[in-house]
Amino acid sequence: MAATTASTSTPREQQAVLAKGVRNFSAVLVSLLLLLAASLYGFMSGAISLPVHDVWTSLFQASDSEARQIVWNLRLPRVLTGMLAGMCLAISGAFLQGVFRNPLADPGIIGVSSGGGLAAVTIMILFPEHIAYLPIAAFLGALGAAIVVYVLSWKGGASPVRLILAGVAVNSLLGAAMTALMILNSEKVQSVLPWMSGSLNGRSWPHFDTLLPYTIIGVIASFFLMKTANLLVLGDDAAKLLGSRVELGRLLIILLSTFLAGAAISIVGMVGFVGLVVPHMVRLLIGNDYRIFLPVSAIGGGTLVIAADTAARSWFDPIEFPVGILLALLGAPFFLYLLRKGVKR
Amino acid sequence: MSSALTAVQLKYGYERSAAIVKDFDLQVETGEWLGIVGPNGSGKSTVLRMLARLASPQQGSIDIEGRNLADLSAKSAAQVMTMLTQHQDYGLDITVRDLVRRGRNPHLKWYEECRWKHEDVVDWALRATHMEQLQHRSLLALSGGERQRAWLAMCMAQSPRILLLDEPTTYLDIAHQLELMELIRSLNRDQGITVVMVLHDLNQAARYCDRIVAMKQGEVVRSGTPVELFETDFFREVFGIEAKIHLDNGIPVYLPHGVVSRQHNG
Repeated sequence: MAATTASTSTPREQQAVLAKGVRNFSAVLVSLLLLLAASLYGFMSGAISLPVHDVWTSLFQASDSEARQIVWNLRLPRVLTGMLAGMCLAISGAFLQGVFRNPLADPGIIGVSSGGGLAAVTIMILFPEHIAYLPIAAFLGALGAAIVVYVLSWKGGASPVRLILAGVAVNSLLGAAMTALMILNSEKVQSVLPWMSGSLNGRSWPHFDTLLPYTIIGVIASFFLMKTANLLVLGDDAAKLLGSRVELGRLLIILLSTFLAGAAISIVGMVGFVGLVVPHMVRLLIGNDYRIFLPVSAIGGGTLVIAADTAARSWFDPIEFPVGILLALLGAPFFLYLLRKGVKR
Repeated sequence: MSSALTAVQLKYGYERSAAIVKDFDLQVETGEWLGIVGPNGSGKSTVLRMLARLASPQQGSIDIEGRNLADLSAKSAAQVMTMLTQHQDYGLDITVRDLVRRGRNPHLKWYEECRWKHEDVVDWALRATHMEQLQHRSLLALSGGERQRAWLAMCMAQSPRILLLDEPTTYLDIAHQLELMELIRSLNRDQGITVVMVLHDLNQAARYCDRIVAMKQGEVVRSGTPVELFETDFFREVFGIEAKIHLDNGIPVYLPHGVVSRQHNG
C-alpha cells in the first residue's frame, strides 16, 4: 500500500525537515559550547583568578606550578563532579516529568530528596563516626523512599496521580522526621546545613570516581528507555494501544530516575531545582522528543551546576556559598520569567 | 465473511455495585462498520475499552481474528487492532510526523527505530488522513479537528485491521465531524479496515454504520441495520424520547420531539 510512494515530499516539506535537523543539531552544539564555557569559567575563577593561558597549560602539561595544583587538583575534579551531578539530576527530572506528564515533577516528587536527606542527616547527627558511609546511606535512603512511594501508590497499577499523592505523603512524613532529628540535636545542625542545601565544597577526584560509574550506567540505561518515555508521554491508554507495557516501563523509568538522582545527591547533597528547571527550559526550546530532549537536558544540567557552583564559590569570596542556594536564588526568578513569557516559535 | 472480533458473555463491574456490563455478546464481521449506541452510563465505552484491552473483563472472552485476546502479547494485539480515544490533549510539543511515527512501535523490535520501510507507512498514514500539509507542525499549533486527525494518522501508522473509536467527534464542530466520518468511511471501504465505533449522534450512526448495537444498563437491547432499528419504539425504550423517523434517500433520520414522561415509583 505504501511502497510506491516513498518520496513525494515537496521542497517546503524538505525545508521543514531540514529546519528541524538544523535546530536539533544547533541545540546540541550550543549546549556543548555552553558546557565548555561554563567549565572554562570554573577553571579560571575562584579565590585566585587564572588567565586562560595558565588554565590551558595546567590542563595539558604536568608541572609543579601553583596553577597546575589549583586547576588539576581542585577545580577540574570539582567541575567534573558538578557536571556529572547536574547531568544525573537533569536526566532524572526529564524522565520524571514525562512519566508523570507533569511539568512540575522533579526527583523530589518520588521521595528521593526526603529519603536521601533523612538517611544523610541521621548519619551526620547520630553516627558522625560513620560519616564515610554517608553517600551510600543517602543513596539507599533515596532508593528506599522511592520504592515505598511506588508500593503505596500501587492499586492494580501505579497511576501518575496516585504516585504524586503518595510522594507528597511520604515526603512530609520523612521531612517531619528529619526536622525532628535536627531540632532534638540542634547543636549539630550547623554541620548538616551545607549538605542540606547542596554543596560541591571540597569535592575532588574520589567523589568524581564514585559518581562516574553510576552516571555511565544511568546514561546507558536511559538510551534504552527513551523510546518507552516517548510512548508514555502520549498517555497510558495511547501507550498501551501502541503495545507498550506501561506499568513496567514506568517502573523502570522511575527506578532509573531514582538511581541517577540518588547517586547525585549522595555526592553533592540536596541540590534542588536542576531536575525541575533544566528539563523544563529545554522542553520549551526544543520540544518533547526524548531522543533530543534528553541529551540536551543532560548537557544543560551539567552546565548549570558548573556555572552556579563557580559563581557560588567566587562571587562571595572568602565565603563559599552552597551551590543549591544560589541555584534557587537565581533559578526561581528566571523560571518564573520563562513561565510567564512562554517561548514562541 | 469471517469474524474480525467476537466477544462472548463479557461481564464488567465493581464490587458491591450493579455490573456495568453483563452478558455482553458481540460479533463483528471483517470489513464491517459497527456502531455502538446507548444513553449515558449504558456501558458502551466500557465495552470498547475491554475490546481494546484497556480494561479486562471479569468474565467472558474476546477473540480477534480467531485468536484469544487475553493470550496475545500487548505488541501482537497492537499490530492488529488499535483505538482512537476520546481526548488526548496533554499539551505535547512534538510534530505531527513524530506522533505518527510512534504508531509504528508495535511493528518495531525493541532496538529498532522508525526508518526506511516504516517511514513509507508513515507517509501513507499521513496521506490517508490528509495530514501531509501539516506533518511538520507541532501538535500545539493544531485545531481540535486537525489534532484528532493527527491521532487518527498515528492509529493508521499501526496498519491495524480493526479500528475502534470512542466518540471521536464529540469535541468537533459539525464540519469537522463530517470530515472525520468521511475519512473513516474511506479507510473502511478502501482499506477494508473493520470499524467499531461508539457514538452519541444517532443520525450519524444511521448514516455511516452498517449495523448498530444499542445498549442500555450494561446489556445489548437491540441490534440491526439502521433501517431495522429506527422505529419510534426504539427511541422510546432505549433513550426515553419521543421521536419521528424520516427517510432521507433510504437513510433513516430521527427528529426528537420530547422526553417520555418517566415513572416515579422509586
